[in-house]
Amino acid sequence: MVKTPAYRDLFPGALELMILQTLNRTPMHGYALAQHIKTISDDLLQIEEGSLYPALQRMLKTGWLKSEMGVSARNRPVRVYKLTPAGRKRLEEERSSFEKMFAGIHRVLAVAQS
Amino acid sequence: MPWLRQLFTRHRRYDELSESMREHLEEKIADLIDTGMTPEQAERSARIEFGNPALIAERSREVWQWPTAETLWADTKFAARQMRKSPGFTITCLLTLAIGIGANTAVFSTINTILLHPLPYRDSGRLVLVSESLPLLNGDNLVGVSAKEFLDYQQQNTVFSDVAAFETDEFNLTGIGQAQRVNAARISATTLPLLGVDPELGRNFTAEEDRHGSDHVVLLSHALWEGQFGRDPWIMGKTIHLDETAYTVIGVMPSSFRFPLDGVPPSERASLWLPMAFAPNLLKPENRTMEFGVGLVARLKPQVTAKQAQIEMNQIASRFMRDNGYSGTIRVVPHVFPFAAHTVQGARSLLILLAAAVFCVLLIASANIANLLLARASARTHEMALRLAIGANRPRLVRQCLVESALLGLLGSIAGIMLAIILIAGLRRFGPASLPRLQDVSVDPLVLLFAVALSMITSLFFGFAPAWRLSRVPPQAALRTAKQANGDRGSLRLQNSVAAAQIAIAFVLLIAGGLLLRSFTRLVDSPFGFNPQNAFVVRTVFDLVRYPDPLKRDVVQKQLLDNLSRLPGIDVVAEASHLPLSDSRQIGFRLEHAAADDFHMAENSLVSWGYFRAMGTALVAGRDFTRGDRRDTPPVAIINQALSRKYFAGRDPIGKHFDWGDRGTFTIVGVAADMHISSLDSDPPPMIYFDMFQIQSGASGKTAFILRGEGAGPELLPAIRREVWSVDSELPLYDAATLRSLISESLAQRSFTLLLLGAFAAIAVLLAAVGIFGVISYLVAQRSREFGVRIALGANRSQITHLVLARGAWIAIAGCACGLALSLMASRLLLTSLYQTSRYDPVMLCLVPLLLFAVVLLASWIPARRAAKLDPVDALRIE
Repeated sequence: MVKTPAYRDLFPGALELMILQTLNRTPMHGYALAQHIKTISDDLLQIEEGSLYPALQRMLKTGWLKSEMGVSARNRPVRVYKLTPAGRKRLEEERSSFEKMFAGIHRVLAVAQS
Repeated sequence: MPWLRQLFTRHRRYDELSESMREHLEEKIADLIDTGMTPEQAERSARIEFGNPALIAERSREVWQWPTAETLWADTKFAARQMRKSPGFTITCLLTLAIGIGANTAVFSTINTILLHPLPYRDSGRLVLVSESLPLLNGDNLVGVSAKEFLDYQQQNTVFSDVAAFETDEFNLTGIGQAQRVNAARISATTLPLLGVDPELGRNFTAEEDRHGSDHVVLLSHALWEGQFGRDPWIMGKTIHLDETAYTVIGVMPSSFRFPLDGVPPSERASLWLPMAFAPNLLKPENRTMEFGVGLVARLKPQVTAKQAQIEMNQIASRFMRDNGYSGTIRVVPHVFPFAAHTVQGARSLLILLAAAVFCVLLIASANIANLLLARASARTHEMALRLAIGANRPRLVRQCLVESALLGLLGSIAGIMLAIILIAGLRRFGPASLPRLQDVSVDPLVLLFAVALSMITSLFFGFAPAWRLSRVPPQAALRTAKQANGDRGSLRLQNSVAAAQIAIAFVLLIAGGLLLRSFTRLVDSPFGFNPQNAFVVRTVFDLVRYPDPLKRDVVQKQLLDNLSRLPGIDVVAEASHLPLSDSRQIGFRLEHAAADDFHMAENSLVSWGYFRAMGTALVAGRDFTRGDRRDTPPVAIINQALSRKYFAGRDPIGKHFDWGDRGTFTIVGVAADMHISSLDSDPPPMIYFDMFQIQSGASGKTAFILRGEGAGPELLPAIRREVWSVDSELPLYDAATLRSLISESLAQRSFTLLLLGAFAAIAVLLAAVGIFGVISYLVAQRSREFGVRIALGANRSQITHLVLARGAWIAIAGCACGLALSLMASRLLLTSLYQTSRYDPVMLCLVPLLLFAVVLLASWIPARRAAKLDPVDALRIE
C-alpha cells in the first residue's frame, strides 16, 4: 500500500472528527468504520486501519464513545462504538471550529489565486 | 476516582480491544474473499492494510496506562527474569560490583576520615603546630620547643590569635582500687579556648592555676570518669592522687575530646589533663637549650598563612638565638605545620598506597562488568534482532537494556554497601593502632555515592552495547542464525583489550604486593640486635615522691631483681629505663678534647647489670656493668657499635671519656651490638647505656623488668605481681608483654599494608581470571562452527586447544607488557615502604608474569577443552 505524501498526513483532530461524525449517524464496529471513512472520502484519506484503535481507545477513555454488542453487516456479533451525549457535544464544537477554519483557509486560498 | 476504576477494569478493556481487532480482521477477510481472493491472499492483504496488530494493541493499551512507569515496571520484571535465567552471569556481575564498590568505599572512607576530615576542633584548618629541629645534632627529628622559647614565641609573634603549650606525661593514679598507670597531658590554660572545646562538666583551668605551685587541679576524660568514678555527678571538687600528690577534679571532658592527637592507640590516649604550669627548673636560662619537648599549638590570625607564620617564627628564633648565645651544634630551626597534616603524616603514604591499589581493583571490576556485558550482548544479538523484527522500536530496546543494567548496578551497589560496612567494621577492629582516628571511620556517604555512581555508569555504558550493536547489524542478518552472526570482530577486539588491561592492572598490584612481601621477609629476617625468644617485659615506676632517696630506691630495685630471678624457669632478670621498639630518649654528649659547644646526640637507656644478657645482645668488647659500679665509683658507660663506628672510627673506644651535660665525665667500659630502637626498618642509631645504680635516673622513674628464661611468658605475670607487691604493694605493674610482641607491634602497620595489598592483588587476579574466562568462552562460542568445520575436516583436537590457548597467551603477553611499563612508573609510590629491596626486584619481575601466565592459561583451559570436545555434528547444525 503506497502512501503518497499528498494525503498522508491528517491534521491533528481530523481523525477524531471523522470518527465522531461517522458514528453520530449510526453506531458501527471498527471494520465498518474504517471502510466508511475510506468510501466517503473517495479513497483520498487513506488511513492504516489499525491506527483507528488507539484513537478509539482514547475517545472511550475521555467518555465520548461507549462500546456495546451489536451485529455486523454479515450478521456476526461484534462490538460496536456509539456516541455518548458528551461525544455529541464534542462533535458540535469541533465541527463549528473546523468549519470556521476551513472557511478561513478557503478565503486565503481564493485571494491568493486571484 | 475514575483512574482507580480504570485500573481495575483495564483487563476487560484489553480483552475487548483484542476481540474488536480480531472481529475487524475477520470481517475484512470475509469481504476480500467475496471479491474473489483466495483465503490466503485475503488474509495477507488484510494484515498488510491493518498494520502490526501487536504494536497497535500496545499503543491502544497505552491510552489506559501511565506509559513510562508501566513499561519501566514491565522491563524491570523482565530484567529480573533474565537475571534469574543466567545465575552464573548474574552472580559474577554482582560479586564483581560488590567487591569494587565495597572495597573502594571502605578504603576511601578511611582516607576521608584520616587524611581529609578536619580534626574535632573548632575551625581546625587554622591550627598549626610549631616544633623545632636541631639539624646539627640530630637531623630532621622534631624535638618540640623549650619552655623559655615557648614564652618568646608566645610574646613576640604577631601572626597567631592564640598560642598554647602541651606536653605528655604519665602518673600513678592511686586511692581508687589498685594503683594504675594513666596517660596524661599537661596543657596551658589557653589550650581549650584555642581548640574551641569546653568541658562537659565543670570548667577549664584558670590562668592562676596555670602557674607552678597552684596547679594541683585536673580535668578527667569521659572514659576515666565513667570507668573509675561511675559517672559520679558530684565528682567536681573531689580529690584524686597522682604520684602521691593530691589533685582537685575541676571538670570532665566530652568523650570526643582527644588531645594531643598523635595517632596513639586508645590505651595510650591521655585520660587526664593538668595545667602546663612550667616548673621553675624549666625556666632556668641554661635549660633554654637543654630541655626541649614542649609542644606548641597555635591558631593563625585570619588572613595569615602558615608560610607567613613560618617566616615570623624564623625571625623570632634567630633573635633569641642571637641574644641567648646558642652556639656550636645547638642551632634550632623552627617548623610550622598545619596541625591536621602533621597528625596524619605517618599514615599518609600507607593510605595513598591503599587508595591507588583499591582504585586499581575498581578499574578491574569495571572492566570485568564491561566484558561480561559485552559478551552477553553478543550472545543476545539474536534475541534483540527478533524483538526488532516483531515490532519493538530501537528506543524501546535501548530502554530495556538500560533497565537491565540499572537493575544489575543497583543490586550490585546494595551488595557493595553491605560489604563496605563489614569491611569498615573489620578495619576498626583489626587495623593498626598507629593509624590515627581509625575508630572514627564510618561509611562515608559521599564516597559511597562515588563508588555507586562509577559502577552504575560502567554498567549503564556497557549495557548499551546490545542495542548499539543492533544499530549496525541489520536484523535480517542477525536473525539468519545466531551462530552465523560473526559480524562483530570489533567487539571481540574491544573485549581482548579490556582483558589485557585487567591483566596489566593485576600485574601492577602483584608487583606492589610482591615488593612489600620481600621487604617484609627481609625485615623479619634481619638481625633485630636482640633475641625476642623467651623474654618477658613488665613495667613499673619508682616515682620521686615515693622514692625521693635514690639509695633507698636502689635497695628496693636490687631486691626485686634478686627475687624475680628466683622465679621458676627464669635465668636472668635485668632492668632498663627505655626499651627498643617501645620508647626512647636522646641525650646530648660531648667527647673529651672536643670544643665546649660541640654536642652530639645519642639514644640513651639506663640499665642494670645483666641487661645485655637478658636482651640476648652481644657485648662485642669490654665489660658489662657490675655490682661494683656504685654511686660512689667513677661513672662508666657502654656504647653501641654504631656510636663506636661514628666517633671512634678505627680506634678502640674502651677507656675513652665523654661528658653528659652537668652530670660529669663518663668512661666507656664496653661496646654492645647494635639494636633497632625506633623501628626495624631504620638503621640502629648511636646509643649510650648508663648504669641505673650509678646515676640519678630520669625524672619519671619509669623502669622495665626484662625476664629471660624458658618460663618467661604471660603466665608468669601472677608470680611477678606477687614478688613485686610483697616488696611494695603500691607499685603499679603495666604493659606486660613479650619481646616478640614488641616486634610484631612495630611491624603492625607494615603487615597490615601487606595484608590489604595482598588481598587486593588476589582479588585483582581473581577478577582478571574471570574476565579472561569470559572472553575466551565467548570466543569459543563465536567460533564453534568454525571449530566444528575444522574438526570435521580432520583437525587434531589438541590443535583446537592450542588455537584457543594461544589467544589467551596473546592477551597475557599484551597485558604483562603494559603491566611492566605501568609498574615501573607506579613503584615510585612504594619507595618509602621498601626495605633493602629494589623497586626493580628481578625475582618479582620474573615471578609475576609467570604467575599471570599460569592464571590466564588456567582460565583459558576450560573453554579450550570445551572447544576441543565439540561434536562437529552439533556445531554444524544450524539452530
